[in-house]
Amino acid sequence: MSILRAKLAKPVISFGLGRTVFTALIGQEVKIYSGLIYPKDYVLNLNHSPDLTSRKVNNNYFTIEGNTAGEYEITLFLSNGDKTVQLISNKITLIIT
Amino acid sequence: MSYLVYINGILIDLDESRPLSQTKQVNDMAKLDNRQSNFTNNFRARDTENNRRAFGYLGIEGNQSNLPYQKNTAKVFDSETGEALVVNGWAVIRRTTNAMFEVFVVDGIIDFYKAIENKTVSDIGVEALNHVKDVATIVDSWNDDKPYIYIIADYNGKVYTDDSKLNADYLVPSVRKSYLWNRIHEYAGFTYSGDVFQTEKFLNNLITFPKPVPTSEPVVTLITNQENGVLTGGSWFGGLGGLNSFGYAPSFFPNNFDTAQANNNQFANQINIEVTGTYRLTAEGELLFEGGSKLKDINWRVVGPDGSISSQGTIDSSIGQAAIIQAQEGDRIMLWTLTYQSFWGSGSISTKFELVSGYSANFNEVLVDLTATEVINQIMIEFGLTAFKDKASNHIVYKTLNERLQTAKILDWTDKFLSRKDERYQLTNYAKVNRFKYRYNDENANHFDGFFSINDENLRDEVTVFQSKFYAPDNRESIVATKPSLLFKLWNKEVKDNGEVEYKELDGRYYTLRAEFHSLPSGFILKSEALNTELTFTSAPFVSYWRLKMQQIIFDNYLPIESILDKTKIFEDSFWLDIRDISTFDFDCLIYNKYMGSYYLPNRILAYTTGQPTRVELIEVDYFKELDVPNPIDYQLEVINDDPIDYVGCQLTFIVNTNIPSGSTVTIKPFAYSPDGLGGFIWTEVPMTESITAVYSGSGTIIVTINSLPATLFGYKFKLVWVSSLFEVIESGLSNTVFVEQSCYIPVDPPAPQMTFLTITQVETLSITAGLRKVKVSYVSDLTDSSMMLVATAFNQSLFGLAQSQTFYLAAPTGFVEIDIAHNSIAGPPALHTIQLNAPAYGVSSNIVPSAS
Repeated sequence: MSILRAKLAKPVISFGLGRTVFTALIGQEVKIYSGLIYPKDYVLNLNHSPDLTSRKVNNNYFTIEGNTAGEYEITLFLSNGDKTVQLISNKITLIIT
Repeated sequence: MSYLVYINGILIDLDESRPLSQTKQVNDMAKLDNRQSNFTNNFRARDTENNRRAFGYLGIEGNQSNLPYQKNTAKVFDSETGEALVVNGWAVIRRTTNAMFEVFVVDGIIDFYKAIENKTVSDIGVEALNHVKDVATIVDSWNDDKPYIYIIADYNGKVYTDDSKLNADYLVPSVRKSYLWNRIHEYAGFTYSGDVFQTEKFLNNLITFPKPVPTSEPVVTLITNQENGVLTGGSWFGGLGGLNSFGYAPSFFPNNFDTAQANNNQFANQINIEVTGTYRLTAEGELLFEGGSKLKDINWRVVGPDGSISSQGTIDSSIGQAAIIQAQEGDRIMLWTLTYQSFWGSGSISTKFELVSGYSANFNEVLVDLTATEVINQIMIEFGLTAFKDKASNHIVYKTLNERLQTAKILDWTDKFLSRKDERYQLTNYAKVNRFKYRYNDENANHFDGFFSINDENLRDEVTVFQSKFYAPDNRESIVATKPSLLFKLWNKEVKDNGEVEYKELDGRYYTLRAEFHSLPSGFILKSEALNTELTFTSAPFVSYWRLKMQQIIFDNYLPIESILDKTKIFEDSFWLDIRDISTFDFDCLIYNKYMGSYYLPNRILAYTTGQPTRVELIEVDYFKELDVPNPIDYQLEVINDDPIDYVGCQLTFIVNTNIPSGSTVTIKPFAYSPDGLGGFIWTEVPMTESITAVYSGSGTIIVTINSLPATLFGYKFKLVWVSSLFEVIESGLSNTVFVEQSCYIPVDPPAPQMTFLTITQVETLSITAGLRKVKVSYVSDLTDSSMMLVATAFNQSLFGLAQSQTFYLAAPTGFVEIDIAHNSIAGPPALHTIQLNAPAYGVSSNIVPSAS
């Protein structure tokens, strides 16, 4: 991939330090990190089940929690201002017990 | 054509025969390890009365002006347009002659670096990090909002207490780099911004306290300190059973004390505890009595409200001994001596009772050899940052190299292009191999260093682009409180003659590391042996070295440099730039030139002068060069040890959890059970003349045939190692022990007799109990092998006594063995024995010596 296309690199998220599976208690706030820095006009938002509640602190840091036990997949959706760039990150799994 | 130059607010009369020019730069790509400022040429100011006053009458005999040695503010404006070339500059007066003053002006990031020049991290004020260390503050540091964290890791200290709890005394605090970064900017009077500062890699990034937190002298609150008095008469003392002989005994606290923590309101030698905590009792001096007897042993005992004894001990006042005592509210601490004296003697004992808060973790005292500039440079390099200082204010915007190249604005200078003056093919300071290095405990180590290559045969072989001030951990993994840890050595271990391990403190070990929180549902106990306190925890930060290896740092932050440095072309192009182009130029851009059909990274603007062509140093960026995209997931290679390692014949099958590419060649390193030199045994790597390798098929198993290992009775463990295409070494932990059939091993020929003598040097009785004598037999030999089978035989000297033998299969060539000698006597003295050692494999026997009586 060239530098020009590198700005189209797929976002990568984790529960911290590369962890892609995390087990949390009901109501426990869990952190999600996105490692890459994108241009200012890019918008990043988490995709997840409506049973989960997430909060975006900034483009690199989100929090999420759930009140129903279960296994949930979470991704990050990225788009630029004119929607010419739309990317979905890797999947991570939150297990709520 | 001319400029208005203000120095310390005074407009200077310039000598127009040597016009002022300015070179602009922020981050010369040829020098990654430092950052540069803008500077003007040495311009001249005429010898006028105005200038003489402005320059403090320099050059006049007897002049004492300090101007050449101080910071002189400077502003430079274009006289025609009023555009500011320099707003916040620094004028340096170089020399004075009869006819002129020679000056140059620097601006840009220099203000920031000057503000922290020669300042240590202690100088910038990190008092907020100082704290008193005890188990409570350690656990408290595990909250997000603390600038320091006690990360659980192997610091090569005494990891566990004698009762197998996690030893708090051998944990050290680590400070967040983000805290130091903030603090340094605050100290310098600067603000900053940048998206990189909200990433996990920046926020979860710490530096260890560079040495152990001292546990020799605790932080205390004095409760009382008194010279002894004399107790006389009936000797009821502290309710310990009522000894009623008449005589004299010391009163350790003859005067009443009554504080919030403790009092002796009832009896002089009884301390009533009001506040649960850790206390220190210290006594110094001694009492001398008629006949030469001394009183120096002071007994203490903690008695609960129900009369139960929770702890007790004795301190020797003649050596100023102290006891750390844990006591609960309502407890009583009794003090007494064993005997009453018939006549009072001379001397005195001073007894002190203190509440212990913990041990002082004083960052101010230890961060004296780490400069603020070193911290800034380390972080700048670690994230590939370029600093863009605002021209008019003390604000710095930091951008990564990736951001500069991918998100920068494009300036089309096609219409300003005049000519190409020069084209060069090498940036100085680079080589074929360009290394980023950590410091190591072993000066020959380099396991976490990294490098990038430049494909240019005309460059020198290699160069160190960045040498970190920080240490890398030793590449040795251990398990601490159930989690793996590399070795962040802050102590050295030494075994003393009596077999005890002595922990020697190291200093100046700044390790960089991260904290990874884990839950321990069944709980783990953190205990301080020094303070005798403990707490149970169920969640804690354990050490992580995620993306901190230099090769990973290069991978994450310097990959685009390949598109700049591979087949480098550095151009010096001439442009017609006006003052507006210059005054608004900040290097946070790429230059496009339609005539040349390429994008360029501006490296330097050379000697801009209004109204003249300007040379600009540009580095061509190959935007279409194919790069390896960083894989943000760390490679893992883990042997699943849930079940015994499966084998058929000589073929082993390792079940692995890994994400390395299928088809990768994995090296299998064997480990054998060997003496560790500390009196124990560890698994150490077996050197192989030819590596054992296997190809990973991608199926979660690695199959390998073992047929080149020497025979052993103890089996082997194995470590799997894979080296990525970027020379990143990915290692598994050790496998379970594998016992393959002996026919798979290379038979070991019996060793040639390498021992010529075996001599017992000392026999020492360690203990005698009814029916058993434990004896320590020390010996020397000239055996060169690492271990041997040793038979110790005790011969009973009585007429019908029997010989007793014990065999030690892995005895050291020189050392000691402890043998148990049984004898028939139940309560009387043990029978006499003589002892002899024998190494049957070498046919050598020792001298025969009597056991100690």
